[in-house]
Amino acid sequence: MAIQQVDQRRCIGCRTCVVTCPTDVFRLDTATKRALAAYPSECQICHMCENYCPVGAITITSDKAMPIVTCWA
Amino acid sequence: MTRRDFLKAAGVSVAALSAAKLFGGFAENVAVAATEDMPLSRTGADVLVIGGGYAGVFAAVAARAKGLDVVLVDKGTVGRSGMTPWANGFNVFDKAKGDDRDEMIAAVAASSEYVNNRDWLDAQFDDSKARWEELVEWGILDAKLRHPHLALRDKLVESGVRLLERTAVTDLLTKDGAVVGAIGFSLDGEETVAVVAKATVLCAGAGSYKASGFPIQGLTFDGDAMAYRAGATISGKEFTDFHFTSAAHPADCWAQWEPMWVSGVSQTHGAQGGGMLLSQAFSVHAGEKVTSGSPGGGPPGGGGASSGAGGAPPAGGGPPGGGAGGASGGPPGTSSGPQVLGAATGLGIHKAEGVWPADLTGAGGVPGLWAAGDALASMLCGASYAGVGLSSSGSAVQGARAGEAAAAFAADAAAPALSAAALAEARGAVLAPRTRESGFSPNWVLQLLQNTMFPYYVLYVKKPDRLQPALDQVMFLQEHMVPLLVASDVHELKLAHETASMLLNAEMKLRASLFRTESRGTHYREDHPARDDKNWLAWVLLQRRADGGMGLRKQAIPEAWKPDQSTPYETRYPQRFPDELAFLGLE
Repeated sequence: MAIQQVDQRRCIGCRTCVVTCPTDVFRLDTATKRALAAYPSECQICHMCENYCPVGAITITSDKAMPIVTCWA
Repeated sequence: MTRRDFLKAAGVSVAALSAAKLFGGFAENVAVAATEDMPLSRTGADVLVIGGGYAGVFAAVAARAKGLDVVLVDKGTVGRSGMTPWANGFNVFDKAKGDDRDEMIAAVAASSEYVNNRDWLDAQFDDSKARWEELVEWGILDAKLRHPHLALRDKLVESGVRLLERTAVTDLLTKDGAVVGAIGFSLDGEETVAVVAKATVLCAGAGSYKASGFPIQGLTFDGDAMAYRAGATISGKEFTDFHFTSAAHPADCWAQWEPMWVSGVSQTHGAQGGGMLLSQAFSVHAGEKVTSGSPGGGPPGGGGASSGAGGAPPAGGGPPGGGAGGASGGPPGTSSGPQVLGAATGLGIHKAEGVWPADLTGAGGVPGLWAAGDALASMLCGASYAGVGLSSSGSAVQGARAGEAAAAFAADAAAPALSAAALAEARGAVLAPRTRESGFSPNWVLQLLQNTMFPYYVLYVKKPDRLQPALDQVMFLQEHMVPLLVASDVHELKLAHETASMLLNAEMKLRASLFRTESRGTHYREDHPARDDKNWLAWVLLQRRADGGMGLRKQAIPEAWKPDQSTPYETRYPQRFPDELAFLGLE
């Protein structure tokens, strides 16, 4: 759905995706210093992260899944 | 190790935990923080600009040019946040290129259905060419940049504007009824951020209810919400922007917006319409076919007789370089293949919702506050959008004016003295969801809001017996759930404040829609399916009452701007609403 995980072999930890995403999907993994899609449900499929990524580490698909709505928990 | 150190060290695992519970309802806050875990970073400034799109950048550059200390705060990063990255048309008024003042005044009034503000259009005539020339000087056409809007950020850096990016502002700071800065938090660490400023320019853009298929999910009406809470008047909320998305992949922004991204920025001229077709909503309501296989971005269903731009005469000039609609000539954000209505649900008309201006600098009616761009209800456009490129250039023109006025005010003002106690109280409000032990997750509440506001029969085809129950639901969510929102990290704290802003905006939209008892432009009331020029050549103004409730009032447009009542109704308003002529006894 939407943003797939960042390719950890290609990612160079430049943080471009973190500062680019308008909905704050990414964080750098504190241990590996590579980017993670920490909040993939926020992805709006605008492809800006992919467009700006200098090493082609990001893959995005066209669809999103609806989260399950529960009563209160 | 303090709790804050622990959270820092465990940043990713905390994030993963949050993601796992984002859609839960009432739950324990899995990583509750104490206020002291998010220390306060306080800075002062002459002028604070909130938002880094066209309006914000022009405001900051104009204020900085006066030699003042300017801070610009952006929820994302400049050139990549809000709607700015997707702008590819910039409307310029240039007599040398054949633009005609009277023709454009008539065209914008017709497509706006007469509730536009002609003084702000005059500002476009006066300023838009100079703003374009500045953009060119800043490098907006420079092919060496990876994207033209990165030139905006370069200009801020070169000018010496201090940037606080990835910083979410959640409230304006006030003292003795005046705005004295703003407070929020950083998305890159557990830190509260306050900027105490002599003048504040709100350029936080528009918003939607995070609807799919439109690259606006980072914008959530934050500016309107914080200005309203600070006492400003808000307008334009009953008018609705229409956008479609792909029926096959409704969440896919890129499929719709790629042409806007790759096209670069070019001038547009005249007021060629470009507003969406309300007739599509009627079609849905009548159970008629509403999708279209027509390629190239033409309106689904092939248009038909009801065109939002129907009254606009052809504009002079013509967009060089193919114009902003891309090769298709269709509205922005439309791909080939079957389309469905509903992208950007909640969005109003560009330049026609937000803070009500007290003058032609965008003064916000509260001392110390200015607004510009999509955060300002300039009514450059009215009940529907008047022309591709007016949004970007309108933001630039208004931003520069607001920045200059804010700078002139700040140059003579003393630095505000905000007490530690006042700052502590504001900080407490910012961090409340983060420090709450248990409550409702923002995304769960957002889903309830979306379920209430998304159906076409609430904001597109309106009737009191549907608007009122939606309002009841929105009020319940505001009163019962907003005070109980929880956030287990800064990302979720952003969502919590965004959700509160969206709920307040939904209340504004529903109340304004109930209040305007007529149909006009993109506001269609089934029970009043015609324009009512006698009563509604007017704007709807919203302002917080002393008792905390939302007050509504009407302000008539100037007499000189009203359409000629001797012109037959059908000619005055070429766009038809269903059953309109029968309602008026004209058929």
